[in-house]
Amino acid sequence: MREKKEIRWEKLDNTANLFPVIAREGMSNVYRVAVTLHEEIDPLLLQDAVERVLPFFDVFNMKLKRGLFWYYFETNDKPAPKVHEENAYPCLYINPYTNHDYQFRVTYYKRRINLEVFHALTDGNGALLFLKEVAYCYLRLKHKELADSQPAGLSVNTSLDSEDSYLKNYKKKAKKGYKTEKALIVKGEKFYRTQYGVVQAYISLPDIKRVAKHYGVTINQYLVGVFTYAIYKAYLKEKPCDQPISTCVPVNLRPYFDSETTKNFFAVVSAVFKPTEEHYEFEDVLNIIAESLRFQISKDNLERLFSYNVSNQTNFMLRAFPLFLKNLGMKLVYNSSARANTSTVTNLGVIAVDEAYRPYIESFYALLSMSKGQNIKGAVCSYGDTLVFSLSAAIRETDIQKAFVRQMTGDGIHVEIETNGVYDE
Amino acid sequence: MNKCGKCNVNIRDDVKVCPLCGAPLSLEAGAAAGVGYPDVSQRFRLMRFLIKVAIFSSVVAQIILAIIDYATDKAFSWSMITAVGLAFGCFTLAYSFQNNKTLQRKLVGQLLAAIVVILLLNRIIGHGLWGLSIAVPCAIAAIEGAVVVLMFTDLSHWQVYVMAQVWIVLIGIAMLIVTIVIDEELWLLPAAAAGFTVVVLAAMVVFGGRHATAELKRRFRV
Repeated sequence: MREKKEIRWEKLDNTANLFPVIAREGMSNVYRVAVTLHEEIDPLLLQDAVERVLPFFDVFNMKLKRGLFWYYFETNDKPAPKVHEENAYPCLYINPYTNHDYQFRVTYYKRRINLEVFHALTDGNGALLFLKEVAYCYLRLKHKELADSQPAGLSVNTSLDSEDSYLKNYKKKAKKGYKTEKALIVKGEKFYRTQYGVVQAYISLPDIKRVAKHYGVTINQYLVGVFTYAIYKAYLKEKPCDQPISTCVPVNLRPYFDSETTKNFFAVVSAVFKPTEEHYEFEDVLNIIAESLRFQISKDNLERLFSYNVSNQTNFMLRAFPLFLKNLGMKLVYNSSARANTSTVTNLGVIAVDEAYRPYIESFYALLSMSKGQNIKGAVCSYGDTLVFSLSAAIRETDIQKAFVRQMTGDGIHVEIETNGVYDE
Repeated sequence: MNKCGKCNVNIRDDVKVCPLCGAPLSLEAGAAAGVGYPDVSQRFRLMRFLIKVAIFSSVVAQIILAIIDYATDKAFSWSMITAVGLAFGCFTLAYSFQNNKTLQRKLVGQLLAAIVVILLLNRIIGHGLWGLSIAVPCAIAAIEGAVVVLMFTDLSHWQVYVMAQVWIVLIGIAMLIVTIVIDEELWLLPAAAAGFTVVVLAAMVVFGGRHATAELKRRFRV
């Protein structure tokens, strides 16, 4: 019999409450962050690394439980999930009841370590912290010179804070933050449920910095602008449309509210472009998108966006509803807000790696799973001189991806692409 | 690495045509290809095929049985029983392999499905209220026995069954009330089954102590 310890439990953060309600096979709400090394992965060492690092991360060391009024997390005292070779499509639904009750999985393929996380646990920033520590630990186990020169514990740059920053920073009596105006939905011939296509664009970071500067926008504004233009050009065929192309852009709230939490802490703004006129050039679209983002990304606006959701969570009348009624309500709100967005582009920023480990790490990337109404999505991260833009899609047509890449190469940016082979089937 | 002249990109995949536009690629010297992804298409196709085989077999079996029933015995439609049985089998398969339910929720779900099946069979076959007075209490007692055995096989995590036990008690009491309302003379077995479930819950709370009360507090937190 396993030794019985006192069970520690925690509430889900505000964003996390939604994911267990809507997650299922075909809409897993699982995202992937991955690191590619310069050498083949040793699975036994990787398993050892996961087992050594996991106990430090309370956020990952949890199992999801269902109460009568709320979901909650409980300490998981089972052994770490088994590491195995990647043998399925990315970002599949994580069945916690066959994964030692954990809400994440670690797989590997050739030189790459994949960490797939159910969004209820944490956001991309939190997942990257865990992934980096697993990679560091793995490299110390693999390379004696690293083990001798580097401390055995976690990096000094790693935060283990697990506060609910939403609850700490919200303002009461906020107005409704989510949109319900119907946006353009990209349709096409769908892949089978749980199957999806990945196109990864490896982009020269110096090139994209130069081009973004030339247009007078930030890299993120440029990327969202190119993505929006690709949808306008390839899907709308440059015709006017009553429905806007609305791209969700998650914004990391930690810098704005001085938080180091490893739980979810982000708000979503929407970059909106409504093609009302006959023809738009790329620069027109880019300027509209940049202005849309600039206007929304301010501390006050971001606070307003998440405060409404948190005030609902703390409202006693709503708290007293049984979970199955809350779930119905959340599903209704989610379904109506899902029609209000065309796509999502998330940017994890520039990934910093401790200097001693840099020679062993080639690149990082992130991938998003599909969600209702959003049949194509983008995830961005940068390491060294390479920015990786991963396009995941639930539809077979590649017109948008083609237009996206061609716009970049047309701007003089060096791009290499890699797919997951599903477009060849 | 190969290059697509139309898209002006290098392709890291080991392919002959561009995955974006379908144009033939030209071979270029340069950096080695990336890590790539495993080929999972075969396994994925096989699983889809097996699911289709299971569904098709069920439908064919029921059609054959219905034809035999019609041809042989017009007094009693026994093929309705097989239809109920096949439907319950398909439900069990689908429900059991659902990836978002705990074993405890599956037990409660199976109990409710079994009660529905028993009552349907009682209605088809007739011969009194044996479903309500005998079969349903036996089903409740069987599930209760399964819960007790499962708790003893994993004593360090027995409290995960507390919530499932609450639901089983509620189902037992509900079936007792329904039986008494329909025919109060049939109360004995339903009362015994309901009593069994209440005894097990009481034992969990009394002997489980703070672990059981902590589990219930977490589940019922407002």
